[in-house]
Amino acid sequence: MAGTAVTPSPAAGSMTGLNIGANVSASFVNSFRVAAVAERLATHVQPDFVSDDVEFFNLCLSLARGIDYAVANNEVPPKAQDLPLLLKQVCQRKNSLLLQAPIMVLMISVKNACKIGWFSKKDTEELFALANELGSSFCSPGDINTGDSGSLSSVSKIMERFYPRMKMGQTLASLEVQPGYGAYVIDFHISKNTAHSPQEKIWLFVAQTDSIETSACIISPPQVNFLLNGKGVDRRTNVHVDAGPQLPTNVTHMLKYGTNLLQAVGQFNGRYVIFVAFMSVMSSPDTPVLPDYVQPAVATVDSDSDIIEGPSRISLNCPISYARIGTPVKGHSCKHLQCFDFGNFVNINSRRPSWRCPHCNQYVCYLDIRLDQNMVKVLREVGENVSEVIISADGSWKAVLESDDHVHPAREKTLKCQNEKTEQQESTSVSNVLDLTEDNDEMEVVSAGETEDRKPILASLPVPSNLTLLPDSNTPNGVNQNSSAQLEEYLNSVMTSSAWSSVLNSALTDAVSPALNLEPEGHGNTNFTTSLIQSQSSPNNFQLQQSQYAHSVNEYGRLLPRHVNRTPIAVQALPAQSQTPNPQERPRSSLTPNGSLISPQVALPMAPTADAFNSICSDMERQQHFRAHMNPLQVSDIPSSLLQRPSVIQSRDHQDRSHASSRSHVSSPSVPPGLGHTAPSRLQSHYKSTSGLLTEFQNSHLQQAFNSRMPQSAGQSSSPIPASSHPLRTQVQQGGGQVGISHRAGTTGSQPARYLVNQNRYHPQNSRQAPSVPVLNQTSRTGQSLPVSVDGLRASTGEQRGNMGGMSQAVPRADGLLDSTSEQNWRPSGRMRGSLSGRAYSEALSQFMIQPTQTAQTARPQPNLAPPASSVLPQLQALIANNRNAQSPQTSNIQ
Amino acid sequence: MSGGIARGRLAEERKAWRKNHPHGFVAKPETLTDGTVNLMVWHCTIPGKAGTDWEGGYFPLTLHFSEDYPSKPPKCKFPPNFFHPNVYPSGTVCLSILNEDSGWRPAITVKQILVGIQDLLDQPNPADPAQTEGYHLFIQDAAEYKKRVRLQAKQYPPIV
Repeated sequence: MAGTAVTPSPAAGSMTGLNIGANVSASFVNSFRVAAVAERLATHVQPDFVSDDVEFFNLCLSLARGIDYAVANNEVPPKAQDLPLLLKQVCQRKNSLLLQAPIMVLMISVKNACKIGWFSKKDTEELFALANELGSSFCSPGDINTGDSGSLSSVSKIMERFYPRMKMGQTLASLEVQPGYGAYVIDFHISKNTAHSPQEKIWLFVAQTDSIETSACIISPPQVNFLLNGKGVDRRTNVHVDAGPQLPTNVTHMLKYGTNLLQAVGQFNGRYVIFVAFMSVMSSPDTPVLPDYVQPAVATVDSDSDIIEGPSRISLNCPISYARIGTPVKGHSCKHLQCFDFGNFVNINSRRPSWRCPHCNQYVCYLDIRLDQNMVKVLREVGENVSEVIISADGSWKAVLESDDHVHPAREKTLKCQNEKTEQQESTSVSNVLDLTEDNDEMEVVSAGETEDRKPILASLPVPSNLTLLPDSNTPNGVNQNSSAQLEEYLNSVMTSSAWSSVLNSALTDAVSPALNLEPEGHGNTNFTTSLIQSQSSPNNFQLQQSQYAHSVNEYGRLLPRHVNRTPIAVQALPAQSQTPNPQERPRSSLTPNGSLISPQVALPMAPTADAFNSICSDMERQQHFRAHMNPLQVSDIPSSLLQRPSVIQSRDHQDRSHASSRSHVSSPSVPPGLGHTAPSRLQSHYKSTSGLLTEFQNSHLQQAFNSRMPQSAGQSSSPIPASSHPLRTQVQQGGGQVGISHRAGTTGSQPARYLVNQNRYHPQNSRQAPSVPVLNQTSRTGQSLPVSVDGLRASTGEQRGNMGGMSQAVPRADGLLDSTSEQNWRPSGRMRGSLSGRAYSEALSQFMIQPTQTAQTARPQPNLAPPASSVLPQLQALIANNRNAQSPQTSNIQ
Repeated sequence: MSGGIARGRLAEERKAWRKNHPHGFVAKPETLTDGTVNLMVWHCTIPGKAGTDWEGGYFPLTLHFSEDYPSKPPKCKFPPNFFHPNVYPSGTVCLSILNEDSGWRPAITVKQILVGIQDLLDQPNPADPAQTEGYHLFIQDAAEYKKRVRLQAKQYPPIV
């Protein structure tokens, strides 16, 4: 113990990228550490020594880290030759349930040391055998290859068919998987001097090898989770499955120098090949000059002759971009004359590799693309202004002139005028309306529906819309039991070690107890805003009244009251541009929060068009989401920026949570077993926390089972800590995570706190780690966290970080970061009955509450809407949301 | 890699729409606070077909395009709780041509989407219900369904 206590962690060295001098000393310190730990461990395996399991546990992990560090730096510690004997002795204690996992961790590191030739051949073989024997209790046997030897011919075929812009470099690990249930684990190591070009990143590549003819083979197996170093790989876990064909996942940020662990756990629906490899993405030239691109025109017009009887009208525009085709191509089996543009086709399939003809939807992989020489000729000869040609069966063509389009030129013209007029009108009114609204969260609206839109389960469809609340209170149990059962199954399969599962079991049993903690996050919120509103007095009464109703409905996840009426009256009443103050209308101070607050009132008379209405509608929706999420980042409407994507996913997650959190609270007390004892306060916080934890739960388990040194090395990375505190530290960190979470959960009641919630989301490490060991470079890490999570969601890591240098940085981040990724992607894996009943519930609410109040309550005096100018932004937004929500009911009133 | 494709295509869609579009329909990209046009969200109006119970209604529909458009279809949303068997409670339209895994092709235009949804209004697909109420009335109580449809058409009167 003493030995490890004084040595700085190797992770700290690898992470800060020490200069050469420091590096030397770090290596020296590491070899000293390895020696000291080995010595101490040697005393433990003496027959007469009374060994303390906890110390043994930590020594194993410490030794594993020391070996890792040396492996990563391609060093061989001086005492390496003594290690095999010691390791064999250590392995004799593998039957201890407590020690099995750390010994496995140690042996994984040892395996990697073996691979770079630390030991004699005989020792190497024996150690491999030991490691495999031990590993068999953790995972199913698979055809596991590491290193270049395992590259498969099908992989290169898949690469050239579906990922033409990617070039595969060195393979780090590969695995072939048979159909059926499996829990596969591959360990591989990344050495600091692993040769790679700076453009190369490390990617996870998964493909089904039963048939590699179509893009259907590049899916992620639907019921399989992929984890790297204990963290779920984005879009490849049950938490967020992307059903369609996928690009390889850039996992560079999830890896570290030294030993890494890939797990693939679940039901495989076919034969799969899994690769971790260096790959580089080539930016292809805009014009396909490469010989690979230009295929001889195999399928030209004549092959279509059987289906074409007369001349056909062909667009010269690409069906993808609707702009003029540059390089006319089609699939070799396409029967139509219509071409598409090569560049566009490759572009969209480099984003989303569906590889289907945009015109006929047939599979067209990269190698199936054919250049249509006939169309090349047409395009060359035809005038710029011609967008369509008529091609006859014999291959001759004539241009379709623009004027041919206009069958009824007169009518067309009037129509057009009308339209222009309308559009003009619209545009003024719309801009007026939008002027006052927040359009910060379009993407949220987009994403929001995705989780909501589940098919109603016909059996459980309630016939009348005014339901009892009964189903609502019942379903959560079912859901939770389900999920805990699933979880249990899942976890058991991953960790056969019964010690863990017994802890787990107890945790799960606990989990199902106080069950109906149905209080949705929004509750506190409602009160909060309402009271805030009521503390002010105002003339515009009924609006608020409505808004409160709308609001209360919304709290239950419902989107809008149904009786949304449009008001056509305003069109005639007021010119669109009019700013004449309506009695109810306040002076427009549009830029201030106040101004935007009153926007619905202003908008109403001036927004007679559908657009305006739509914008209101969607605003309401948006606001609801917005209120539900308060995601400050959604504000950014930066076109095509990376930011948008994370926010989509995030909001999706939010959405999920708003569905799930009220229902599956019960299952959220997912207490990581830690090291056996759980503080009551932790349990508490778990009860409060949202179901997003499920993911973390799994992860933390997995992580602990296999890789418990991860969190530790993260902690260590920033401050050297006595190794003796390992178990303690693990717990502290876990606890820290939980504190962070419970902090969120606890504070969701109030709007400003919600704001915080999102901040936490974006800086997950921050909240997680804060309560634990003082972390020196916390701030800098927080600063990094945003780009990092962007990385997690899209494969653009590389640009942010200097390749391998960046990877070492990833070590400390890995924890919070990946947690956050998986958390963000949390999504119920099955159909959630609860959500239906939630809707039903709100439907009932709307029936009982809104309809009767519509006319009756308009006159009731109501407090003011205008908040003090000093109001905190989130509060304001809540008010705005309310106000907006009030819009449609009010509209119907006026009508 | 191809961030420009979605926007480029949408600009073309807009051009094509302005040049020619079916009578009674409106489709227009959203205008942002600063006056710029957001091509990724379109506000549209779909008129109920003449001769059907939907006649007289001008139904607001919002199209949300993603950066993966046209690889992925836009999400089409009516107002929440729109009454129709194939519209989710959120307002999202459930239609084969809008489903990436079945009928969607990048070649499908905004015009085709809107006309397709207009067709769907009066020809719901009971095999693929998306909401409880509309579906149940449609299969169990034709008279009430008709009534609700007509009522809803009145709720969305013509704009001008």
